[in-house]
Amino acid sequence: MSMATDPPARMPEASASSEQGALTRAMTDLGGAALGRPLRGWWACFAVAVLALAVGVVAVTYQLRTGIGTWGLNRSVGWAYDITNFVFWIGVGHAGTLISAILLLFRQRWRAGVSRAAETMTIIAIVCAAIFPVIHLGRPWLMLWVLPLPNSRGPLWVNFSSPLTWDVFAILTYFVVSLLFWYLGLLPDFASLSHAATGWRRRVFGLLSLGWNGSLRTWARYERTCLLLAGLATALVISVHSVVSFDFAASLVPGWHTTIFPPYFVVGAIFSGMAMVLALLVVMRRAMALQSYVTLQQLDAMCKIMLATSGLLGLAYLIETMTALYGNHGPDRFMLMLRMQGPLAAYYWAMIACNVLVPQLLWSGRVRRNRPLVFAIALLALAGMWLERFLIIVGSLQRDFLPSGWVDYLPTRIEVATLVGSFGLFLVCFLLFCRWLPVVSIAESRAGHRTRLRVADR
Amino acid sequence: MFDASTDGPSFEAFWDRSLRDGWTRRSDPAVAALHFDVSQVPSSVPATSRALGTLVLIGYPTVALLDGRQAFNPWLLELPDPVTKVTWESGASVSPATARVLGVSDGDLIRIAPARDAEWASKATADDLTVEVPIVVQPGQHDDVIAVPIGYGQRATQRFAGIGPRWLGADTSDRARVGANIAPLLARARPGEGVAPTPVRVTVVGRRRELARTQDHSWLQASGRDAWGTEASGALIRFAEAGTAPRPTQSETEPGGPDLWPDERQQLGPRWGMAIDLDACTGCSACVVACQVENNTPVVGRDEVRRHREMHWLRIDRYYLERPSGVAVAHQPMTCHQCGHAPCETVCPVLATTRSSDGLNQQIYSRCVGTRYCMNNCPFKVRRFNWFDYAHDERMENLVLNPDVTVRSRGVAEKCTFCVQRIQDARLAARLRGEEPADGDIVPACAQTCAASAITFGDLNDPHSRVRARTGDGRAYTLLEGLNLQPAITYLAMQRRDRSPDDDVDGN
Amino acid sequence: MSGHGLLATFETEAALVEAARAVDSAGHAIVDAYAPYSIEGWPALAHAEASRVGWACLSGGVLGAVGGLTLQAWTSAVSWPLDIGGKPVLAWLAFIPVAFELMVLGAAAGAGLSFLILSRLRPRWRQPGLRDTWPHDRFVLEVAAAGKCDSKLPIRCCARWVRW
Repeated sequence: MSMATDPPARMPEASASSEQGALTRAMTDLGGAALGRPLRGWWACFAVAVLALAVGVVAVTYQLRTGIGTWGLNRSVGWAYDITNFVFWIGVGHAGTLISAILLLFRQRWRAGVSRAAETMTIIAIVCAAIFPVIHLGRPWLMLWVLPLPNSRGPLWVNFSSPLTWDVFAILTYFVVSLLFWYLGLLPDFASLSHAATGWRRRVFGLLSLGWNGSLRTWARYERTCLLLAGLATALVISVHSVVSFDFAASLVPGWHTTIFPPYFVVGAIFSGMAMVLALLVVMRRAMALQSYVTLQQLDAMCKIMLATSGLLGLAYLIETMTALYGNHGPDRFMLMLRMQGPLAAYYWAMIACNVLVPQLLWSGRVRRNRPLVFAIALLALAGMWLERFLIIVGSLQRDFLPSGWVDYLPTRIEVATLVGSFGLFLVCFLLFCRWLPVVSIAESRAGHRTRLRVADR
Repeated sequence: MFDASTDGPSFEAFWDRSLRDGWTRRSDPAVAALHFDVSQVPSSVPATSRALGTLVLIGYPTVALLDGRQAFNPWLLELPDPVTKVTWESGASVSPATARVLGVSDGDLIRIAPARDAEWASKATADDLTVEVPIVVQPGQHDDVIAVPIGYGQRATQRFAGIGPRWLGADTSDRARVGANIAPLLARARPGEGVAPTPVRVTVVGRRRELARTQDHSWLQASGRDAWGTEASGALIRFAEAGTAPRPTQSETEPGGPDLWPDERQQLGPRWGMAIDLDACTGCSACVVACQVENNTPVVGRDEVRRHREMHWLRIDRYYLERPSGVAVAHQPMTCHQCGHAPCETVCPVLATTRSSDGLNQQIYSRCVGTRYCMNNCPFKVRRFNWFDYAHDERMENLVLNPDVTVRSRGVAEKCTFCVQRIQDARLAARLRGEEPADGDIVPACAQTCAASAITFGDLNDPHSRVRARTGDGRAYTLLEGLNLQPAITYLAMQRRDRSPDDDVDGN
Repeated sequence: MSGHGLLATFETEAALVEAARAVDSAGHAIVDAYAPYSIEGWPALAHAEASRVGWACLSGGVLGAVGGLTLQAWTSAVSWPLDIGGKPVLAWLAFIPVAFELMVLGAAAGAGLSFLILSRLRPRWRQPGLRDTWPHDRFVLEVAAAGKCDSKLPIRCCARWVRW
């Protein structure tokens, strides 16, 4: 296709028509930051995040140089903060996939305003998570050995019976599909931004838009692709955290070897993910003046999902307790008593409070509308879910079959710094996203606007 | 030194051999003639001690250091005491009741000073004689006794006190000597009496010194189960009546229930196995050192042991059992069980641990990336991890290494190999003769060193091997049978001697 | 393709749809339309062929699953069979998770790549054709025309002619 022969006649400026006004407003509201509009308080947040990241980078560098012994692990507790953080971050990522995939399939319109932020959070959370299985290796420089690559050692492949190998494939797939989904969602926005921008931004956004021209043929194909990917991502919401839970369920450590883990982990993942999305959106909404895009109804709906998953988690905890008491099976009862009264009992009761008791406040509509309170509940939920994973991993490893192997575990400063660093990385990436990309899908908010118009027409 | 009757006729040959080996064999007829006379043992607790309101200090030689002549050997400094399981330390053992009275627990520092009325210590010197040692609460001990090992705290042990990896979190406060020397405190013994019990005053310092201890949890119920009843099936330590009937054949004792996988393996060659007689085992721990020497296992130092990172491939678990007659101690040597259904193999993502054709669970160091999943999934917790680069480049130190065994680098897991280097040596030698190794040709370092012959090693597939015969013994049992691990180590239950009607029913 | 076309710009979606219907019923071919968001029912309106993305997705999924199973079976049982924890070398149950994940990966790659290829989307420094005039806040209809200035087109709008 060649350029138009006539110089394009300048279109009359946007009329007073409300539809067009809304379209332009979406562009300026959401694309503003990407086009260079300064964000209030951004630099302060970014500085804090970079500091946290720097702490983590120093700790990890030191650990990689010196050895994994700089962590508090020992002969019985082979995993602690590392895998706890890994499972925690992977779980946090699940909310994005849930919102963009499952809620898309269920035609939950409210997801439009929050899906971009949630999907971005997913990608960043997967990156934060994937760091830990790499740095937790004794010899991280050999990490590619977990892939079945042709090699110079003869036909030496990988062990496909190992849940860790399953993990590698699950996480890779999850990352690729999430990235694809996220990028496809950004395509029309890149085109819009490129159109509205000038200078180098126009070039870069143009390059990223892959030549998107808004053709309705492409749009139709695009919607179909998104629907297919949503279906696939739905399978991932269920499968990825199930596979992660196999790391534990497929082992024979008492406290790990439990059939309830896959659903239990998936529910927990969605719970913690929703908490993270809520915490981020409550802040973003205010800091970036997104009140007309991220509405109170949307926050309300997410609070309800949190409440529901909190209930499911409570049920899972209850079932664990019931099975142990009812089954009268030594190891099960032992693990139960250990959790409730053992060296980590304080963690257990804190977890119950954060994950089950506190979220019950969300039954009240007044609480759900109280944004600072929702923010606090979300943070507590995140802490509770981290504790849950820590309890499962460390609590079980430090008391297994032979009492002679029972030892306690204390983290070192290096480990704590690594956790801080992972939050730093998450915030740095997320703040960069807020600064450079539209935090609410421009295209979807336009489509949403159209829907509202139609409803009004009727 | 040279004795033609035992060393052969040629002095030249004896000289060359001695130079090559670095040692000679000497038999001392005086040792063989010694006998033990119980009546000569002095009463360790003088009747007056209670009246004095003080504790009685007993200095005892440890298995590792004896009277202190071995205090310059890091292997022995890191060897856990057979009963207290403490390393790198001269801890003061007191009974639980005394610990309660003093208000102390494991690791609390106490100061031991001569009792006021000790005739040999003037008031002026009493303070100089004070010794600070950490408490070790020792079940079964007499309430009036405080027992501290002798031979520790020698000046030249300074260079071992700080052994271990250097890093940010390493405990660097510990650069003094290994342990404390209590010799000046001990009352002069009468000739021929050895070390005499000494009345002492004990004060609590109020500081702590975390013990470097290899086992923290030690109580089993009378049935051999631990306090929580955790083991999957059967007891960890079992007891047998004398004259127990022979065990049914192997196939009948295999755990029932369907297997998820059909066992398609055809084991044509040998399957190496071990039988350990718990009755014979005294817990002396010679096997632990032998294993460490044979297999180039590093000494990691006090701080690393405190972090539960000792590298011993073979350890001896010590359990206390509450008996009507008092506290009983059971020792259980514990090493890799070379499981037929090894949980560690299944979970390794990079195939760094697999099963060999002769039934060994082999660890391939060069392939290991260090996920530690194998360690987590090992129900016996016998796998060890190289948290740091423990191996040194020191030429002198490397002279003690066994050239037949790989030195492991940082970041890989390791564990007992059943001394695979000896197995291969013996098989090679036998093959050169055109035959298979005979039963008893292969002796792992632990079995070779065991003075009580508690460890029998051999081929489980050989119907005539001694180890096979022992697995058919009436006392034979394997650990954690419910997990269907098919371990290659069989334990022989302890014969019960102190059985009384009050005792609990046994787990066997 | 060669010929002439008309680009007609509208301010609302409704106007675009109305014009498209009129153009269609007058027998003119709708080449394409451009909009800031997807319009429901457009493919039927423009007589667009069914998308092949679904087939690509299915093929990718089948390829991923079969490839995954083959990879696992071949590396475990043929290339170097090893005794792992006493399991048979063809431990089918253990192969399910990886095969499933590779199926999802294959299906997603099939859908994503086929979408990009069919839509001719790729990174380019110079944006082609309509790129510069694509209105992110307007609706454009592109109609094929037999000759220049076919004034019989039944639409009223701001329009201009383009030549392919």
